[in-house]
Amino acid sequence: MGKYQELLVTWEETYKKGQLTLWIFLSLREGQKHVNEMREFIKELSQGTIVCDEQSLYRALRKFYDVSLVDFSFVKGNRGPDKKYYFLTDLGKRLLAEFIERNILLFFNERLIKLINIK
Amino acid sequence: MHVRNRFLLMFVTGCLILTLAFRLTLSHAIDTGGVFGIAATAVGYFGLLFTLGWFTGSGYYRKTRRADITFSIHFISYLSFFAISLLWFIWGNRSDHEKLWHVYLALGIWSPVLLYSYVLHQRHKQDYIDGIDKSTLFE
Repeated sequence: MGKYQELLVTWEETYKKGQLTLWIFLSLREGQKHVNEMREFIKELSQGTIVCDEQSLYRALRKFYDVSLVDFSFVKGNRGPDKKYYFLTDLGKRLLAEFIERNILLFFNERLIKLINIK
Repeated sequence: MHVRNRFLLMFVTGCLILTLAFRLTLSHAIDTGGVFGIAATAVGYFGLLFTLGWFTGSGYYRKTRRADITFSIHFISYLSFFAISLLWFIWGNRSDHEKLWHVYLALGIWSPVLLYSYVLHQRHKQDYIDGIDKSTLFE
């Protein structure tokens, strides 16, 4: 791996750390989801840059459940056992909205958009 | 039952049994054994109580990823020890050589340690939200 690739991969690895929460919350903002659906959502909309396994999702969801950011309900499946569907609680929705406002929307500033689009 | 309460109930039960056994053995050791018997009883009690607390705390952590049970375990041990020790005197089961001030002496030694662990617990709590470590919550 060349120096350029190494720098890029290192930066991306650091950048992606902590992003899983945002992707999980965004997937649940769209509507309640099963873990597999969340994984698909994240893979598709991050264009494959964020790939997470079921265990990582369950681990994160369990912590979010413990601090009342997400909750779940069981939905009867066609076959097999009932599926656990996760959704954002009111606290989770409020937290996500505020996080987006403080940390994401700032990138929609015209000056920043121009800078981001410079090739 | 909530997971935390289940683990605490298990600890309370074990702690009460251990403390009763300790009081029984200690009174017997004071009457019949020498210093070695008394020391072995005290060390054995401490070792078993510590092991029980360790298994309770680590089992709870494995199950919940929370570490907010340690002070409760310490506090329960403290309460059980002094409640049973005082009851031992009230029930008249003490050895002829045991005096109430021995219990108060133990209380005087243990109380500052409990207070110190409470201060640590309060400091530690600032690193947690609902028992979840802040530094790992959104990682």
